[in-house]
Amino acid sequence: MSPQTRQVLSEFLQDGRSWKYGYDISRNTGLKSGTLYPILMRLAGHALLERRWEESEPGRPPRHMYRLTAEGLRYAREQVLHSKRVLAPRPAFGGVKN
Amino acid sequence: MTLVRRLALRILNATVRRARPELQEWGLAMSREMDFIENDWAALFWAIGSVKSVIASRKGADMMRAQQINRVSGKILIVLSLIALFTVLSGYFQAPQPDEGAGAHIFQLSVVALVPTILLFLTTADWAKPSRNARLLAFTGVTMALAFGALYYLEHYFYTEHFR
Repeated sequence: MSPQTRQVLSEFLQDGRSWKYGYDISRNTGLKSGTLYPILMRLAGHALLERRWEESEPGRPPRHMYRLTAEGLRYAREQVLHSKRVLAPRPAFGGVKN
Repeated sequence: MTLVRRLALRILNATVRRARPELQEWGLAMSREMDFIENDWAALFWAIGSVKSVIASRKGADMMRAQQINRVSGKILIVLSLIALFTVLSGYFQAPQPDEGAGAHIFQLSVVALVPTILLFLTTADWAKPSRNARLLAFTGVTMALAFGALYYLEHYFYTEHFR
């Protein structure tokens, strides 16, 4: 899994099952639309992400919203936890015993 | 609407219109987000990135289709070459016929069908992994060499020895 995908999953994990807009995810993760949307498409293709159109205020176009499915949430938690374990700093020479 | 924003929107909408139906929803979603981007230059970069993702997804879909065609054409190659070989081998169990029989026609048709199938296989092959392609082509080549060798022996030696 790419670090960018992990970033997107972490962003979704911030508020569990709440809906998010594409531009907000882009701003919060720092990912450009050219990187973010292929990730969202792949997650949706694997049924890990659900999407819907939200009616905005009058005069403004409807927006696409995204949130992780239950399966997606489980997957995201596993992946983010796994990456934390892998990236956690390990003490040199097994650490110091007290 | 400023010129930069209008340009950005026009580029993105033109790409979305030409996108595959399954990508249009995504393209539209990216286009709609532009209304919520305050900075015009940020909107232009958003549009460029969105165009990039639509094009990348199209390429991905084309690659997937090419892989499917390659898998199917590879299987057809195996079947055709085996048909050619077994058709020739079946000739060893029957007397020569005065005219070309069904077996000869099946052999000829399978050899003719092999040519476009090989071309299709080669054009859709993923050359980043050459070993699978090489194995399949080698199998077809060896099977066809055996088929032609068996045919040559059948017509020039076997028939003259057994059915003179």
